Amino acid sequence: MATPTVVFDKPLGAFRDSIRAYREHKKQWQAKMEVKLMEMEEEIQKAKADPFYKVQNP
Amino acid sequence: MNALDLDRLFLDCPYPVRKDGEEYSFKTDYDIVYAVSFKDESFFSPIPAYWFDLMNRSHKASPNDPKVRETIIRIIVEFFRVNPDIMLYMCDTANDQQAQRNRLFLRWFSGTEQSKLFYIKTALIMDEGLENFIAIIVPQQHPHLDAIIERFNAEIEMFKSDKPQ
Repeated sequence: MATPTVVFDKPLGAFRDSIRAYREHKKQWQAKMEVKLMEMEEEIQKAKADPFYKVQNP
Repeated sequence: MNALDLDRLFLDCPYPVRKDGEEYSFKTDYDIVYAVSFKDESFFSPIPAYWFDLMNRSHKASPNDPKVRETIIRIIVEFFRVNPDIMLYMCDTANDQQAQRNRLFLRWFSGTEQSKLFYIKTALIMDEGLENFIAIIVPQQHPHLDAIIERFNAEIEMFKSDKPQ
């Protein structure tokens, strides 16, 4: 049986908006990752300074 | 999006992959942490599509490490096993290195046995003064492969014929 033809919901030309929205999302995701990294490094420094320190996110 | 099977990834990947919030991450032998994420894209609706994102979270220069490539490819293959749809990838524009990243991604992907299972195409588009390398990856067996490629190509042509905005 032949595959039914797909009818896309969005008109041609809408990809530009998708790309811009994704670029914005990517910036926010990278900023969130930066914060996570800083928190991880703080935890590592605390753990190095205090052998009894319990790492929050092992 | 259907979640990746971590047990399967554990068995397949050279580096153990963990779920870290909404991301998947792994740490290399060189203490570099990579994060992978997927984001829904509605442009191809009703066919599901997702943006694939990869980030070196440690900001340390990564040595040539084949285990990184293998782990990423395994993640992508597992993604398609549970989401046999459309994957989009846009190279990061940091330091104006997007062309090199695009070449590296293509080399990584095309150099694997699994790549034969997928259709992959990259396109360069200019938007808001930025060079954007965008890749689309679709399983060769996708029932709407031709329609998806046609739509992607038509959209890229529209970008090329448009004046910069």
